[in-house]
Parts: sequence; structure tokens; C-alpha cells
Amino acid sequence: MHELLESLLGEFSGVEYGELRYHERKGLIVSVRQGELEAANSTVYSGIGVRAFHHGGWGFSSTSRIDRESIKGAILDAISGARAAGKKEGARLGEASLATGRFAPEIEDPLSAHSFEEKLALVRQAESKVRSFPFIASAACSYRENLDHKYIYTTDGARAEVIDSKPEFRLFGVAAANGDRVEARESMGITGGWTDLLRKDPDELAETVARRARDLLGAKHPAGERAVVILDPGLAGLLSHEAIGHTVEADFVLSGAITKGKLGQKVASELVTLVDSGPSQYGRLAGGTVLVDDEGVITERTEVIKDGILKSYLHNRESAALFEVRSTGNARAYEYSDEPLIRMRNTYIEPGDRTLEEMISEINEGYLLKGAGGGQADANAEFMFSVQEAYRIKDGKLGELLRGVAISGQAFEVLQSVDAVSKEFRFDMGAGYCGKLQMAKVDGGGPFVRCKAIIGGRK
Amino acid sequence: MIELLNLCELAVETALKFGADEAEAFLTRGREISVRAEANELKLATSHAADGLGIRVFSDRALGFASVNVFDEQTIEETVQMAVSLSKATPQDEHNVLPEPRPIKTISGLYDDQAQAFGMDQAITQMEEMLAAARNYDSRVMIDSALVNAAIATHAVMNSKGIKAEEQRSLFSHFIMGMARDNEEVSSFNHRFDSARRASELDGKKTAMEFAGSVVASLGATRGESFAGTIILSPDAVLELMIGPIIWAVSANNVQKGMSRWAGMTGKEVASPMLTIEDNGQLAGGACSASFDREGLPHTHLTIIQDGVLQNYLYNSYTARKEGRGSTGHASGGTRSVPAIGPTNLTIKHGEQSKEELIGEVERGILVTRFSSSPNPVSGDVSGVVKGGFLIEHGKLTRPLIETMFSGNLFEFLSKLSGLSRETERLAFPQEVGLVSPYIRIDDVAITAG
Repeated sequence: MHELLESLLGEFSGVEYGELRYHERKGLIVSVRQGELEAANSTVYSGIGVRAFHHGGWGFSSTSRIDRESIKGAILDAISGARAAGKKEGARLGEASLATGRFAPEIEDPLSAHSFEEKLALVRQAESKVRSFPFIASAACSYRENLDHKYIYTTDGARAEVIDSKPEFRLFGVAAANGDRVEARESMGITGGWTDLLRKDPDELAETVARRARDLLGAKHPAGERAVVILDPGLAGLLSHEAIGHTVEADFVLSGAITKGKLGQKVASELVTLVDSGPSQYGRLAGGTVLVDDEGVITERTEVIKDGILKSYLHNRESAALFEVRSTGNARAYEYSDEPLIRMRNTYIEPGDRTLEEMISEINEGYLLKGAGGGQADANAEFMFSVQEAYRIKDGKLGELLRGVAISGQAFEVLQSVDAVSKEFRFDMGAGYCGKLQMAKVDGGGPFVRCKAIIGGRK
Repeated sequence: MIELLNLCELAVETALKFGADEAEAFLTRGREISVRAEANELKLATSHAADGLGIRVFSDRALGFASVNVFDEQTIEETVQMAVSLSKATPQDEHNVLPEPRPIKTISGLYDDQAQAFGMDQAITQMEEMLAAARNYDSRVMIDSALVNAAIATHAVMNSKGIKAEEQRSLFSHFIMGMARDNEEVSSFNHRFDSARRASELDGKKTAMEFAGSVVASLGATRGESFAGTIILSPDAVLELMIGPIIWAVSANNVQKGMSRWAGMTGKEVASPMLTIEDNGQLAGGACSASFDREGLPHTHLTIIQDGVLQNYLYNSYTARKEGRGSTGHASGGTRSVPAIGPTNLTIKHGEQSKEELIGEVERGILVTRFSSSPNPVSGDVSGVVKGGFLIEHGKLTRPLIETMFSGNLFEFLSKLSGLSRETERLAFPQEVGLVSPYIRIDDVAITAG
């Protein structure tokens, strides 16, 4: 592959920059619902994505045929696209740490060392465990893995071979009574191998899902109000990703997101340091770990907010040039046929020095919110996301469990209201995907965070 | 054209040779061009091939599936071998039987004869017209991104029971998203999209101006109030709030596996008598129509809810076989996974009153033009934020709203409908679902202010 790509870089004539990205993805999905196998899918999706840059415009083309003529054709398409879209002379790409050599996460127990039969058995056993509880009306479990092999070559010097391995495991249970149905979910996703994925015992996880569904079935709905809440690490991650992270993606900033012109300003409580990082910190490798981005740039740990001050946006090479900074390594493409876009990686709030118990004990009236569901946010940082469990807090004590709710607010106002951050930290979005024209595997997390937000209720 | 079915045949025969009892090949070969704008400017022109082959096999009624996007003989053989080897390791299931062929009627209007000639230049011109229309509407309009897309694809499906079909379809779509910015004030995001089988059916300028109008109208939004009142959902909000949970509840797989609130409810009232929903995969020229489904069976024109009474679930052949009945032709999905179940072109029957009349009768409520939520399809619980909305007081729209939420249960909302508009709008998500819907009014909803 090296010789082929190296020799084809010479075909980029009449444009300022060219990029060849070979990406082979081997995927496996095993899914069981109610004891029935719903999917045993093995997929191979491979090809070359070709990109050219000229006068501020980009052309992108892709081909699944790995032969010189097909790739040359794709290069010509990309060149003509870039020349058609490019209208700004003088536009350029920013400085970056271009990768050369082989990059692979450290994996102890590779997924390839485990048979399909073993993966199927894991899923069947966990699903049947959830279903074994008498109050469970329906159960599902799935395992998914993506094994990536890439070569990223650019006309200005990147020569990277990149290996990746991202497994996921999901459990789902529905409890039903009197025509009412409630679901509970748990999931795990990491960058790495088999043992690291299954650090939590799947059987215990199955029991957690089943019991939570049962407890939620009997739970009441909270009233709607603006309240003091404690977000669990998953929700802190979702807030960081969904409500803050998107507004600091430089393409959104350029089109007018609320963070425009606010670098250096105080946008959050000084207790808040918010990071988006390609490498992973804190234990096993988080699910959004990216060593080299899809422009061939070595990724970094980017401090977006440091002690409450907005420090950086998230950049690809093009936006880095416009802001006169270096690329932060946030250009990512989901598959070979997708063009790189500015996307997040592992997004989280750094831990603080409090304990969860202290944080609860200081609340007169409020909620402990657990279990991130889906979420959306806006250019103005107004967000909404769903929460699986809400525990009432009264006079410093944890009280009854309430049905899941949606919480909302303006994310920077929420971060300004943060008055306590726990020591305990974890990544908890590793089975998550972010959609922005194409998918991206991301992770997020944080400590427990105490703040104010709006709870959508029934009164 | 012959070539695709030949490749399918090669895959099916190879699977039988390797020991599968039944085999199905689904193949797509397509070409797609698109032009994208970012931050108010033309940014990217792309062209790429969209190829894929999915092979489903049953050995002793056990499932295996593999897919690949490279079509040489050796790769196809390896992929088939993978599918067969998976089927030797999976559990038996008596319902794992491929469908028998049924007569297929060709649906007209799914391919635009001009599609081959639609090139990058035309896509760029259309994009420039969209951008200009949005910007000229009001200088405060900020376009975050916009997309013009043209795709041609041929789909072929063949199985060892005699199903053999192929069809060429075109699809044109566009999308525009952004906000309005007035000095420090940034409105909510909003977007508009449309798609159609023929290029001439799309009007980019109209879409762009509707988008621009919606974001400008949402400037000056203020927090709402908490009350129990009426909501009126726009077709966009209907799509966001209602369609997912309804489709979940009528998908036979969810019904059979205890995940649908409407299990055992056919023939029973599940909604207000005002509500009638149909799905028509045979609609001539429909953005989500096709002459056959993912398994090679014809789509149908199916009534899902008639006057509030649940009529039918959506089946593929697996779920149909379990109940000893026929598929409704709702097998969905692409080449990279086993057939699922999905809707095609949905229509919610319109009412008799005008949208203005619906608003005029509301003492206190909200007109919801965009809603952001993650409705839970199992319980029907929904709680979300009004992203585009106007307060209604004494029958009149008084001001735009932000940070206003409403909550409740979608399945309960369906019995509290108090009006459907005469006017309908057509929305089509490329390759997912098409919807024609009126404005829908629902009474007695819990609304929470920020």
C-alpha cells in the first residue's frame, strides 16, 4: 500500500493540497432479543477517500477499487471538485504535527483472539440473564466491534499507518405492568481489547438493568421546575459533548455559534476545566480515542475551558489557519467514503476534590440525575437531554426514585452555576455515537457535577 | 444492468455450494454527487460510488450474514464463506425461511431520465441559488451548512426461492441549516430539507426562504410560562415527536417481543377518531417508494390507523412467518445488515379546519414549529424542549419562545387530539421516511417554563 499511495501523490496537480486515505473497516454485530438472534453480521467496508484543496474549496471523491486507474480517477474528480468550489485565493491550511509511522493503541487481549462463538455466547447469556427476572417483559443485548486499518498520506508530508479497535456491549430491559412499560439500558464501549471491554461483569450489569427497569416502573414523574441537580459522570460527559463541545467546533464558531469572539472570557465557574482529547486519560482507553486524525495530524489534549475561561476551539487544518493556531487534530471521517469534518473525541470535565456524599448532604431540595439518554443542543448552547433516573434529594438526604425526565438549560449558564465537582471520575459514553452529517465514535465523562438546570415534569 | 443480477446469482449459488440451505443477495451500485456549503460559503464538492453487497444465508434454519463493498469474484466468494460459517455457529430458528416470490408491479416515477446529465455544475448553481435566497431574505440569517445532493442507484435482490428483481432509482435532496444572529443574540438552530425522485420537483429557493423566515421569526424569543394548555404541532414537530414511537409500536418485531405498547391492540381504539395514518410504498414518484422491498417483495398501501382504530402492523417475512401470515412488504435496510422493518411514505389524514382556525380557538397554548426530544418509544414518555415555538394567547400568536418544555405520554397525547388542519406539508428524509402531515392540536399538556 505504501508504494501505491506514495506514487499516486504525484497525481495532485493544479491544487494546493492532496490527501489519500485508505480505510478498511471490519465490523461484527451480534444482536439477540427475547432469546432470538436478530443479527450475526460480518461486514468489510474498504476503499480510498481522496481529498483536494484549492483556493479555499475542497473536492472529495472515493472509490472501493484499489487499483491505480480507479484511484487516479478519484483524484481527478477531487481536483475538479476543489477547483469548482474554490473561490478564495490566499486561503491556506494551518500548521500541524503531521504523523509519520505506525500508530496503534496498546491492546493486551485483541478481539481477533476471541471467536465468533464466544462473542455470541456472551450476548446470549447476558440477554437471558436480563430476561430471567419475572418482572422483565422484554430484553435485548448486542455486541459490536469495529477494527480499522488506515493509511493517511498527504502531499505535505503525513505518512501514517493507523490501527484501531473499538468494541461495544449493550443491554436493554423492559419492565411492564398494567399497560405501562419502562425500559432501562446499560452500555460499555472502549478503545481496546476483550478483557478491557468486559471489566464490569456482564451478569451484574444484566441484573442492574433488570432491577432498574422494575424500580422505574413503580416510580412517579417529577414536577417540572428549575432545580439544583447533581449530574452523574455520564451526564457531565453528555453536557460537555452535546451542549458545550458542539459550540466550540470551529466550523460552528465560524457560522456564528454563541462562543464566537469569547476566547479568553469567563464562560463557566472556575471549578470547570473542560477537555476534548484524542489520547485517553484515566485508566483504560476511552471509546473516542484517536491517535492520528483523518488529515494525518497527531491529536492532542485540548483544554477548551480552563478554570472557567474559554481557551480554545476545536480545529481541523483549515480552521486552524483562519484562527492562526495549530490544528488540534479534530478532523475525523467515519468511513473511507466520508470526508473529514471537525468532530469531538473524548470530551470531559476534569475531576475536582469533593465527594458525592458531601455534595448531596449540602442540598436542601434537588435531584441526583443518573444515566444519560439521547441529547441535542443548539448553536446558542440551549440543550435538552434525557435522563434515565432522577432521585429526589431533601434535607441533604437521597430520597425516592423518580421516572426519567428531560433536562434542559443554556449550557454556559449551567456551567456558571457549578458549585461542586467530585473526585470520582469516569468515562461513560463509550458506546455512544455522534451524528453530524456522518457518524463518529466519541466518548465523554467527568466527575459528579452540582449545578442548576430545568427539569421537564408533568405539572 | 444484467451484471448486477449475475453477481447476485454468483453469491447465491456459491452459498448453496458451501452448504447453505437458502441464500439471498442484495446488491446496490450507485453514484452520488453532492455540494456542501459551510459558514455561508460554498465549501466542498464530492462524488463517490456507493456500492454494497449483503448476503443472508440460512443453514439448518440458522442465520449468517456478511457484506462487502468490493465485487470481484474472489472477494464475493470469501464474503459468502463468512456468511455460511456464521450460520454454522448460530442457533436454529424455525422461522428462518426466505420468502417466495410475489408478482412485482413496477412503480412509475422513481427514476429521472435527466439524472445522468445532472452534474456538478448544476449542483453548484442550485447551491448558490439557495445561499443567495436565504441571505437576501434577511442579513441576520447565518447559514451553518447547506447540502445539495443527487444520487442514482441500482438495487438488485435475488434469493434461492426464485425472487429476482432489480430497479434503478434517482433521488435528489437538499438541506439547509443555521440560525439568525442579531448582534449578541443568537436564535435557535433551524433547518429545512426536501427530497424527490425528480430534480425538477425540488425548489431550493423556496426551501431556503422558509428556513430563513423561520430563524428570523425566532429572534427575540423569551422564556415561556408554566401552565397546562394546548399545543399545536407543525408537521416538522409531528415528525420529531410522533412518528418514531408510532412506527416502533406498529413494527411487528417489537409487537412480538413485548416492546410495543400496542401489542394485541389491532381492531381497538388507540387514538382519537380524528387520526388516520396510511403507509404507501407504491406511491408513484414517492421519495420512499420502490417496486420491491429489501427482500424483493412488493411494498403495499397499508392503513395503519383508521379513525383512531389500529388496523395493521408492519411485517417483513420473518415476523410474518411467525404469525403464519404474509409480509406487508416492509422489509427495510441496506446492504450492510439483515433486513429490518421500516415505513415508506406515511400520510396523516388532514382535518377540516384551517391552521388559523385551530390557533383561533386556543385560549392559552403553544404553536410548536420545532421540537427537540428523545421520545421513549417503549413507554411513550416524552419530555423535550420547544426549539421553535410561539405563545398563543386568546387565539393569537403573541411572541416567540425559548427554554420552554413540555412533557407527557405520546400514546396518551394521541387520544387527546382536538383538531387537525386542512393544510398539509410534505417532508421527506432521504431514504428513511416520507411524511405528509397536517398541523395537529393536542389539549391538556403540561408545559414548563425555564
